Amino acid sequence: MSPAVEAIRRGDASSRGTGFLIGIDVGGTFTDVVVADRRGGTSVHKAFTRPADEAEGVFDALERAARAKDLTLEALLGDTHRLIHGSTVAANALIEKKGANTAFVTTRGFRDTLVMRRMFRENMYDLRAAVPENIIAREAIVEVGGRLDRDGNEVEPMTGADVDAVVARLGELGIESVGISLLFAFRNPASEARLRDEIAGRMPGVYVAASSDIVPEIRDYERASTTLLCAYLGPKASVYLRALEQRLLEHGLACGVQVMRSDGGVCSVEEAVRRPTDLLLSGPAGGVVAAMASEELADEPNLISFDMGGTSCDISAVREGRAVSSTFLPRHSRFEGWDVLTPFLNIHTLGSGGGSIVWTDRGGGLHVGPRSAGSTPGPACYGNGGVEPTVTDANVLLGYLNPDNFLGREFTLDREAAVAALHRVADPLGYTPEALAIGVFDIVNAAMADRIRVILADRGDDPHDFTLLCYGGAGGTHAAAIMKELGIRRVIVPRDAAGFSAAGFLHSNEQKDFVRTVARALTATDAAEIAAAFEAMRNAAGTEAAEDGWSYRYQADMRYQGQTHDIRISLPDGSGDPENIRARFERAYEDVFGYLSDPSLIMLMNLRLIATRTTEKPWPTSVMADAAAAAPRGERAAYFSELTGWAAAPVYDGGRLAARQGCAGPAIVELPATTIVVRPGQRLVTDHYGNFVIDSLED
Amino acid sequence: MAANTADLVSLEVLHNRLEAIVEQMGVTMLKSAHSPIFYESKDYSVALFTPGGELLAMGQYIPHHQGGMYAALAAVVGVHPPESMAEGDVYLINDSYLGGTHTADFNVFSPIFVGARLVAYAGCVAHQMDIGGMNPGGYCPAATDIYQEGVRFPGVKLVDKGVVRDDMLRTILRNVRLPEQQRGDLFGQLAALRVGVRAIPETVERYGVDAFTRLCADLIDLTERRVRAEITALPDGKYVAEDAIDHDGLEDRLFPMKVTLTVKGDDLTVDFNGTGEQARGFINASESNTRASTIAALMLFVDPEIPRNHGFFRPLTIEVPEGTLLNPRYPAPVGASTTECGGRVYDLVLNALAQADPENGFGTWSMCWLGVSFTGTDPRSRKPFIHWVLDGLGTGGGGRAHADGWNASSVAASNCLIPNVELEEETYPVRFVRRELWTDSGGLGKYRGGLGLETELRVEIDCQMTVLGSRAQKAPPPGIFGGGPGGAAGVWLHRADGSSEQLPIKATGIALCAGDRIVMRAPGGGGYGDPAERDPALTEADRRAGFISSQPTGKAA
Repeated sequence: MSPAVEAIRRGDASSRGTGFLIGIDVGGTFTDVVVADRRGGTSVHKAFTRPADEAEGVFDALERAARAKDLTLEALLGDTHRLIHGSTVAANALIEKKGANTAFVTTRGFRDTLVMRRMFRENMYDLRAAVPENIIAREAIVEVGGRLDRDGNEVEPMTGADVDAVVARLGELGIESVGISLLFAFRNPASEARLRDEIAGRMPGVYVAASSDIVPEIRDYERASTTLLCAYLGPKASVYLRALEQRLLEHGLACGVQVMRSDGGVCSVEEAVRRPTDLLLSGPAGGVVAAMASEELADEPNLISFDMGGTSCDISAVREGRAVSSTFLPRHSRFEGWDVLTPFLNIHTLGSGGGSIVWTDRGGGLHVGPRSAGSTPGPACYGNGGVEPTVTDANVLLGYLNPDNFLGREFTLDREAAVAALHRVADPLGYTPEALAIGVFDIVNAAMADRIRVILADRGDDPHDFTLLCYGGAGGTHAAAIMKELGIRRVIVPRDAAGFSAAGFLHSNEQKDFVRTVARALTATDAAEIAAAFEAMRNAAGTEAAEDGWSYRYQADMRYQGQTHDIRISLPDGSGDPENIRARFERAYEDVFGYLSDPSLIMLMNLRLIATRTTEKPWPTSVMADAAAAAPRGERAAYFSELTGWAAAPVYDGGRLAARQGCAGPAIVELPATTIVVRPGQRLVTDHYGNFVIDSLED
Repeated sequence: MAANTADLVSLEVLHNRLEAIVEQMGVTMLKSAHSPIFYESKDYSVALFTPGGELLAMGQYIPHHQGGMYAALAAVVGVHPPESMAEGDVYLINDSYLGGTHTADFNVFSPIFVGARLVAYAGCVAHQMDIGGMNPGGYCPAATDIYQEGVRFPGVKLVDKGVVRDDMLRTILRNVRLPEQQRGDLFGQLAALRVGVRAIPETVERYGVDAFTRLCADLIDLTERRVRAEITALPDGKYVAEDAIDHDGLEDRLFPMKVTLTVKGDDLTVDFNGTGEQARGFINASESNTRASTIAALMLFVDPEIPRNHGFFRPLTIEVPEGTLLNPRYPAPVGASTTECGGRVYDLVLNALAQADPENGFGTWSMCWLGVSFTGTDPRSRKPFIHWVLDGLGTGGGGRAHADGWNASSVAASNCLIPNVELEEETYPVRFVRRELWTDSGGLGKYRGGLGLETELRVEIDCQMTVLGSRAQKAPPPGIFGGGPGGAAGVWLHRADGSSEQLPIKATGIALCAGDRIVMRAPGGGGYGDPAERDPALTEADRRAGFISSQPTGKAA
């Protein structure tokens, strides 16, 4: 048992003083504010997200949090020690193509790198697909003279006239923002720095992003793409985050705002503004951080984090307490068609959720998704005009969802509309809506299970070694069935499945990352060179490890000569012993691929340093008291294929289940944010923290 | 066919599962392969087959590879009947006269058993960096028979019950020029097979062997019905397309090709009568390659959502006269079959299909590549190297009924990515001078063809060069319905001493000196419809973006 939990058990809360930690997660529909109180207790407060200005929704939710605590907003913020924000400002600007009016500067002869985008097409078989709209016009990509060779030597100089021509052209374009990425700038940043400073000096107010500042790593297209995104998103992120922080400070916030990053760490507003690609997975990262770091999940080192909402589903794997971060792989590291090289947690987003549409093809085959009814009109049962059947409609018919108690009674579901929609697809096939709904439930669960298998296979992992951690509105209904499908023994649904991401923010640490490309055979690299590279990165981190509480992690990206995919390995320290590095690479490679090649072919591609500073964490929420067993509040007919038919499933109010209480499947547990369906042959128990743990009773 | 809901649901569940397995196999190959030709140009494919050898699932790889694998698997089974196979066996074949594509494509197969029952085969085909032969790198423009093109394995056991046969492995590696890398590639192929061999039995468990077998058959039937529905939608009739290949490596002339497509109800007959006699040079496509490319072309034309499997084979009757470019007599060379005559099969069939269905057709989206290779000894590593410059895959897409073609799109039937310049320069002794869309190379039309890619690079050491391309001046990519041709492919050599020449579109043994520069242009896409009907606003936008020059010549360059 951890010291923190022991302290709680002893009732030893007085030594902590007062104060709050606040996590703020802006979602598509709701903005969640989680407040952890140093004296114990965590609460979640919600407000509607205001798409026009996220800050409005943030303040609405904060006001509610203050009111709930009988405090003024100023008093709440004035006693806040950490405030972590997960924002969708960057992701939305990219999705809606509403970033800055941006230009790009690159080496002469290579302006089409960002036009061709490595010739990628989404569906090879779709030769009629539209060419994706670019976020930058070809004419706004400006070429500059000068060329570095592979070692960073200037083989063709960038002259003053070259620089003047660039500035003149940018002036004509009348832009708000500029990205700069030159060939081999990761070896020698001087030319980029010169351009950056000249542009910044001569074009005040223009946002400038240089690739060697953002991600000094080999791969000219992906580095340019990442830099372009930073330039495109930077001005918007800057306006929003700076204004929000200013406003919070004016309302008495006693600390700076920390921003949740795609890699699971946090940084300051200024750092996020410099590298806004770090914001792209700002929200989803929170759930994964909680999976990694939450005291409440300390006994579960291997987790599949599974966040299924209305329109999409985010899946990622946490192994031995650490999120599996993947090295760059085309197609897997892409946001809205743009490749991103800055680090992020390996979160796989699937376009399938409660809104996925059920349809048949011309040959009579049955499919679910990928098209979604989204949130408008949404599933037919929402009664907003949706007529096509969806997964949620099937769940209503099968009795899993309670039409009168859905999403905390925000609205009721129209069962008749769900049935009518299912008829539309079922009738031509000659099926009953019920039979169709059963099939839809199976198809979706199996497809989710397939995705999880593929994600785990990436590292040669076996699903049986993992626990499924399931949150998001639609997850509870499917998790136990997916668990069966995968042969997994346990599912955990957090007590507050909806506020889970925001709560996860509170478990984050400050993080900075650094990279140096080596791109040489390991045999041609000596320890001193590697140690020097790590030393340089520690210097760049600008922190004195011991004094400020920063600690370092050392990593290397490696491959065999001729490969393009790297394997990332952890190193014990920055000493750079090549023999040790080789052994670690070979172990990792053999684990996944089952064979080794000649050691002379081993390439050391990149060295990475991750600087982390531990921050104050919330204390585990008070252990729930044991209490008399709560009775089910009723029962409902629901379909269980394990019983080949309908059963009267007891329905529990999840909020009333005390610690160590449980029920055997079939059963339904209703919560404000989700509905948990416990399958026959499973048992649900609440743990000490109020989380719901479902175990398989079968062998 | 599926008689009840349970079956339809099981079918969809199984389909998703098989696609996931194929994806997992492909990612394993991608990550573990040692040669850029796999990871960047994705010149490999994986697939699953039924015990009867029918294609069950194939993902998004190179569809003619998989059609070739079908024939290659049949050849393997002919030598090693299933009852002689054991769990953990792997068989290797790379002989396209027996079945397959070209010699450089190594096909490997594993039987998959549940208990004693054969339930499926896993297959993987990958283009090897070298296969011996008279030229490094697998392509021999000077070859006059298949013996000169490299070493062939006619369906041999490479892995025996899980143990790699050392005698076979040594034989293979002793015959190729990059043994260390190629060992890694071969093991990558084996790793991909293992993924399938592990995953399928788990899947079968869910249904039982008999039900699994029946569902697999149903999946293929379902695809067949959907493909037939698409064929039915085409007007009955005959559609003829003619085209030609320029240069066979030995002779710079046109080699004519012709297809007659007959749509009758839900059947499609593809007849290549009228195609010229087989060439002396390496452009011929073996019969199995021709069939594979024909089926693949159909896959590129119909609804992209239809699961790709053996259901595509059934509505098709393919007639290929013997002794022609598309069905040569042994031992004619076939080294460039996939992108030369085999590639032109795509262009012909797609052109004929467009005539049948103009709304879904497009101008020529060349299925050829402009391959340029540099070979020699890298002074940094003192090891031999083979550098295939993949920029020539940047062919322009054809104009469509309602949209311009893709620029530098990669050939129609591939998912390749163009390599990063920085990684190219780190790996090979070259420096790229420019890599840009080739202005005015899109075929004119109501909807313009896409631009081809133009690349200039400088070699840093003395080395040898091979050129392998087509769609040069004599046979540029045709437009359709009045659209103009795309820009013609070409390669130019600018010597360090100041002299310049345009090289033949197929050539080998060109000695380069350090400092020599090469300019290469991948062909543009064919235009769609009458250029006079083009919206002036689109022309203006093209001019602003620089896709066309400010003084348009009225025709493609």
